[in-house]
Amino acid sequence: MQAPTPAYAELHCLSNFSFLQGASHPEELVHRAQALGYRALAMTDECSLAGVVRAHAAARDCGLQLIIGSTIRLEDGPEIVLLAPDRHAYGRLSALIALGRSQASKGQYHLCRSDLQAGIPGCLALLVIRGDTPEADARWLAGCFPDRAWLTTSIRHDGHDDLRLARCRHLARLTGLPAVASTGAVMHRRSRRALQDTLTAIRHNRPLSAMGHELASNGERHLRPRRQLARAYPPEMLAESTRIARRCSFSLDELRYEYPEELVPPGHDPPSWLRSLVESGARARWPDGVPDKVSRAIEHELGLIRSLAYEPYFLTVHDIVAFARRKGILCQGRGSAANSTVCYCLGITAVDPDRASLLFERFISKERNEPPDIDVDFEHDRREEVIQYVYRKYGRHRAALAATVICYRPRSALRDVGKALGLDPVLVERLAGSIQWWDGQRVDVERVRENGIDPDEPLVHRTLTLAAAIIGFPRHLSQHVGGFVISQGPLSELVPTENAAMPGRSIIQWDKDDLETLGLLKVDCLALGMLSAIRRALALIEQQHGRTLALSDIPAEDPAVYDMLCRADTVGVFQVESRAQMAMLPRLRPRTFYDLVIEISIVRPGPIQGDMVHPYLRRRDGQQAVDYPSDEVRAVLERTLGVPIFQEQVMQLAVVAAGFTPGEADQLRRAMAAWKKRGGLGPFRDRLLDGMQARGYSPAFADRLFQQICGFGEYGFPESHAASFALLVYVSAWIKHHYPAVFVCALLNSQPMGFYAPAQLVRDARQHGVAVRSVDVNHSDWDCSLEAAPGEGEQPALRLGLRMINGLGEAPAQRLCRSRRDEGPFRDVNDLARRAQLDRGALRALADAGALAAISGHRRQAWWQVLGVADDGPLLKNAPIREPAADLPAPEEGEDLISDYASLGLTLGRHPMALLRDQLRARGYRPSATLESTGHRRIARAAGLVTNRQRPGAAGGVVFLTLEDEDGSVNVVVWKDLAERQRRVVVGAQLLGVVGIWERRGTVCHLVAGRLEDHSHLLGALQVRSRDFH
Amino acid sequence: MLWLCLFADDPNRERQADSLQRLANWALEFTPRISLNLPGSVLLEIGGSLHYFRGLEALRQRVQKGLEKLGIPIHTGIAPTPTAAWLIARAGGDTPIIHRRDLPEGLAPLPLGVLSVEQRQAKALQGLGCRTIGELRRLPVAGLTRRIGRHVVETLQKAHGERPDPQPEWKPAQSFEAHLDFADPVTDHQQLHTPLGGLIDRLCTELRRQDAGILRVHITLTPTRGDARTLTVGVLSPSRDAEHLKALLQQRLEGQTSADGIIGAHLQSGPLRSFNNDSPPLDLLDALADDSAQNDWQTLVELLGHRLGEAQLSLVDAYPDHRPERAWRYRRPGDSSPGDEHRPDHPPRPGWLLETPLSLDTRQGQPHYHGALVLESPAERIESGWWDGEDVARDYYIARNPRGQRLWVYRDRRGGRRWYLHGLFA
Repeated sequence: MQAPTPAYAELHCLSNFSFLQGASHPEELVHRAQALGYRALAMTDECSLAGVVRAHAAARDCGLQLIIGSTIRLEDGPEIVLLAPDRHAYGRLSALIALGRSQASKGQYHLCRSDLQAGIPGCLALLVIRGDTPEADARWLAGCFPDRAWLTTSIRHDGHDDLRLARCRHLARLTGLPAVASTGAVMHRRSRRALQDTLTAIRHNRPLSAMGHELASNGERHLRPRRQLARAYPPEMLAESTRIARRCSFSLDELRYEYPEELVPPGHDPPSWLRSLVESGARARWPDGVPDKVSRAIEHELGLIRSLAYEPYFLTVHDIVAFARRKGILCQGRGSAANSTVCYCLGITAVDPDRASLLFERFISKERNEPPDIDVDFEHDRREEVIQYVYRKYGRHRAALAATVICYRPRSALRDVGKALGLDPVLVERLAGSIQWWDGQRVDVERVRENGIDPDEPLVHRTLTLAAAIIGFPRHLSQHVGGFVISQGPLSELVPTENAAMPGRSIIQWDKDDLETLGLLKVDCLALGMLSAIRRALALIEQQHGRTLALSDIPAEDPAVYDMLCRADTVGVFQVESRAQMAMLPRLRPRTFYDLVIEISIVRPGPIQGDMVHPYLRRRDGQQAVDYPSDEVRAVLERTLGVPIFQEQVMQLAVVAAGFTPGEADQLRRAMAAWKKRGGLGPFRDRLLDGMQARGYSPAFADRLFQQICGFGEYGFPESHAASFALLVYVSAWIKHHYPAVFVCALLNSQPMGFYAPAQLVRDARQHGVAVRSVDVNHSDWDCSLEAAPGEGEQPALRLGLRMINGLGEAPAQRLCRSRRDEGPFRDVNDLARRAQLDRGALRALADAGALAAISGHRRQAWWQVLGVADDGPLLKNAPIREPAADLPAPEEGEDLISDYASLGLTLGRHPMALLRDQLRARGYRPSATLESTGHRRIARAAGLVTNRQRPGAAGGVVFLTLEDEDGSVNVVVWKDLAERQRRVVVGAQLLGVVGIWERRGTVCHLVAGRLEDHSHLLGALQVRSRDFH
Repeated sequence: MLWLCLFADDPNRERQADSLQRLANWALEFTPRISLNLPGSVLLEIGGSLHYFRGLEALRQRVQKGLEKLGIPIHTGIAPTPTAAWLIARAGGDTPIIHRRDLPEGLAPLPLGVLSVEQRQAKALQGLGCRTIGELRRLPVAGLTRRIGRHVVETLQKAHGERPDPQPEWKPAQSFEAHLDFADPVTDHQQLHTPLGGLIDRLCTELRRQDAGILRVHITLTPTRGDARTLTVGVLSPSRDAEHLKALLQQRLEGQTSADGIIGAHLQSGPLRSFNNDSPPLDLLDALADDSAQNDWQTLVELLGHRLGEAQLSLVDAYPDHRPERAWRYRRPGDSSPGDEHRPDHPPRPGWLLETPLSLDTRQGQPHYHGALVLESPAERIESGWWDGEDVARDYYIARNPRGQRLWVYRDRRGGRRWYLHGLFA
């Protein structure tokens, strides 16, 4: 006989944001609850709201009522479930979670009965009943939550269900509290049991075989069909669940952000204050009078901002940028709202909107009602000052960083799952080690086999299966790189805050996607190494050449700079220094600022996979006609010759050509970002194709557009960011062209940053005629510096700084410099040790670097003298000991070279390949200079140090390697099948020999590898580090 | 003087120490002057024994053969100073240096790795570009001492005979042995009690003197003909209780018959253990708390063990696993219990579990075992064990049959959803 299917709302359910407890994603739980016909689902992760926004988005899409709540295990009391029926209760719940988190270390929480004694106003409370729950607990809860307390118990099929149910009903009779059914689900389906057991084992850090009764005895904690529930519970307990659900009307959509108010001085309101700041900024930018066109743009933009009430957001960003400017910290804004005349006047960006031919409205519009987006990049080594300013200004209760959800990746998944399954640790490491940096987000069975492990062996098979299932599971919350959420009231009433790993920092429980879903604003304070380098370069130009420049003063549109860019002579230049960019520059031949905006956007996986590169280049060269299927499309694509290159263009096309609303276009953008991982572009495809057909576009055009959208995926680059980056490209190229010594000096002092290691930067500078002088205790400062060159009008020479020396701290190095400044050059090692108070560690580092050559001779002599400094010597001003000289032969060139690399990461002597040339020649390898005369499609051989490895996501498994020898660099392309076959060599070789076909296209040359030979053994003790990029 | 160094290069320190002890005991065959002073090595002064063994070459061959038998991987070095012999052995080469005057030339090519130096010193030597002992010796001694430290320089001086190189001598370890010869062969084992008891008394007196205890005593009985037979008695914690040991020995002697008489007895103790410190504190606490019970139980286990043989004896322990057939384990007496702090809170379990669940017939869907079964409890669902390939998914019930037997049955949640009998309640 069929039991009737009663209405039910699940009020106790944990997702995998209850880390290592829940075994299902919030979305999975929502979809399952909807499929089972539940009235509502409460997301009640343990002392956390981290998963609710994802659940909210899923529930909104499938039309399920979502209730926001949390499960709390009291330190000195029972387990309770709190639900938020309205906005006010939500704020109290959020604040309670923040309190619990603040009372414990990162990742933990601590709450006691006393924290609930006053009740949580407005919140509903469910007491989770066990077989032995005392009556006092029920009475206590009833006291704390008058008329808002329930008793609940779940069916576990563990033999005690009757006992718990009886206890629950008994207590209900005694206290008058209503009883309600709930599951306490941790899985959306029973089939997650193995995964749930595994998570439990990982949480306890014990193998599964030793978990014993800590594991659940069965898989009953999943969302159950209502018919099963009807068999297990009395009808009134099920009915009560829907009664509670009806009381809950709160939705996360109600959350509204309130901007801080203190930025507006008395007598002003936000619009008038913003206007006054913009107008004074405009006068500074155009001292000879603001052009009419600009005034009109300002009026227009301010009107738009007013209608959306975004003034406080602009004021907030302005305040932070103004602080940076006061402190001399270079910064630059980017993002949808940054490319506006308003932001230009406010000093948020240095990109003159006129020059960039960018339209503010392209990025911000009334109809779309999407929050403005401004990211501000700061010098990477001074961003901390900015962050501290924000905390100081708003307090930790009003400002916090967005979270980054750290999820399981293949390697961590294999490690944790392997350990839980009791796999031999050596085998676990071998498994994890077989996941190289280019495997992406999955565990590849073939790789496992390749490493001599049988993937079909049951234990290995179980490990791989579970590891694959656990990939993408959230593991813990970390801090976002710089996304600040700042509020008017206490932030914790908007979203729970918790302690970050870094002391003095707090994070909110939502990440940037969550904030975006809810339309909440954040200000991104990001770190950018190039800004540090540019600030240093501008200071050096002033110091060396007496020329004072700000970002916006750099002479625009200098043809010589574009000439250099067209030659791909761009080592060290922002963004366009990568292999792929260098290959594109001579083909695209940028001549204007906007060309740079396109240049940095087109060499991206999106345009490449969407097949937009070649059409664009052909049209640019006039080899292909530029045509538009309609005037609307022309308006969107004209600036890129009819080819969509920017993310914004794709969305606008969906609007003008397929009739999407701006809101739908925004959904499309998110779907684009996620479809690689989760799929789900299908519905959009139909809508796009239908919409375009209805508007008279050909199916071929429609299909191409859809393909382009898929290609963009998560890699589409917004024009609004590209415009700001393009300025930094231009500025850094300008400095490189006009002041190469300044440029390399600034880059070296800003390391680590960029694509190239110091060795390549120095090498490139020398090729540009910069004299480079070795590190020397009697000449070097901590930073690299510039010294007058002997000839008049020549570039200054670069003196390597003490900062280049491995193992030398800044403090002793600064003492050294101070002593030299005050008392003159050092006479010998003892003098140095005594005056600069250097310990042996510092002296050894100097000796290793060859920095003592001027005062002690070759490295071995330096060592002898350093070792001779008495350990207590530096502190006592004792006279140097007279002793006979030691007979130490000078090191050989190769030994010096090894020491240079070990200490400095580079050598000013001969290139290592020059030393090995005879051995390489015997193996058939010629210096790379001989390749210049090699014809197109001829066989060529090259060998060199692997200085860069790149496997761009868009390149379909192709690996780009850069080999360096004594003549220069050779660009090697390794096609996918060869890269797969010789994977170990590709990933591991330091000295690589390549035999292949020489491809020459204009000035762009590649060696397409046919065979790879690992000759790393020739290097002996020399360790050469490649910079590897994904 | 001439020194032979046996260098056992074994990263496993415990195994190395054990090897060195074995080597030292074995080396007594060649010379009484043995030292374990230099790390990882056994040094033999062989100058005095050369004559007896008829020259160096003959001696080396005997040593080599012996080492092969012992099966311990060894490098050897021979030199007039102990340190030089040690350095040569560490270098892995075994060209002997016989005369002092050959030391500088012989040692010069050895790599500096043979000196056991700290990381810091090694780095300094590398910085100076020195690779061999010869290169290092070229540097001024005073300057070198200041830079690398006294230890390295003195090691080199000792090796070259420029500094005294005394090596403390090693003496074989003390262990207790006692021997007894009988004037007339003893055929009745009862007659052995008194003399063997005497041996045990002597052992225990010695143990008390050294404040030690033993875990094992081996008594070897030599018959007039045939092979000697060794009886071993053991206790669970270090003991020197003579009466207890005698009682255990008596157990072992019972049932031992020998047609020929016994003419000698030899007692060999196992390794001496310190009496107080070796016993785990837990036992002491237990003994204080519940002296008699603990001792009675231990005595019972020991008695059973001696009567049946230790291999025959196992204890049954609860083991934490949801699967009933895996919720228990055997364990050896003396091993510690795996322990389960988290005692499960599950419904009652039967006292008797079938080794293999018995498949039950069903009639009209109802399981039968000597009649139709009536289920008396709600289902207890057990789903567990997927990780070792023996996943179960079952619903357990307590059932009663017409004979009044209380049974523990389950229905498999997979496959044919069959019923099984898994246990019987008393």
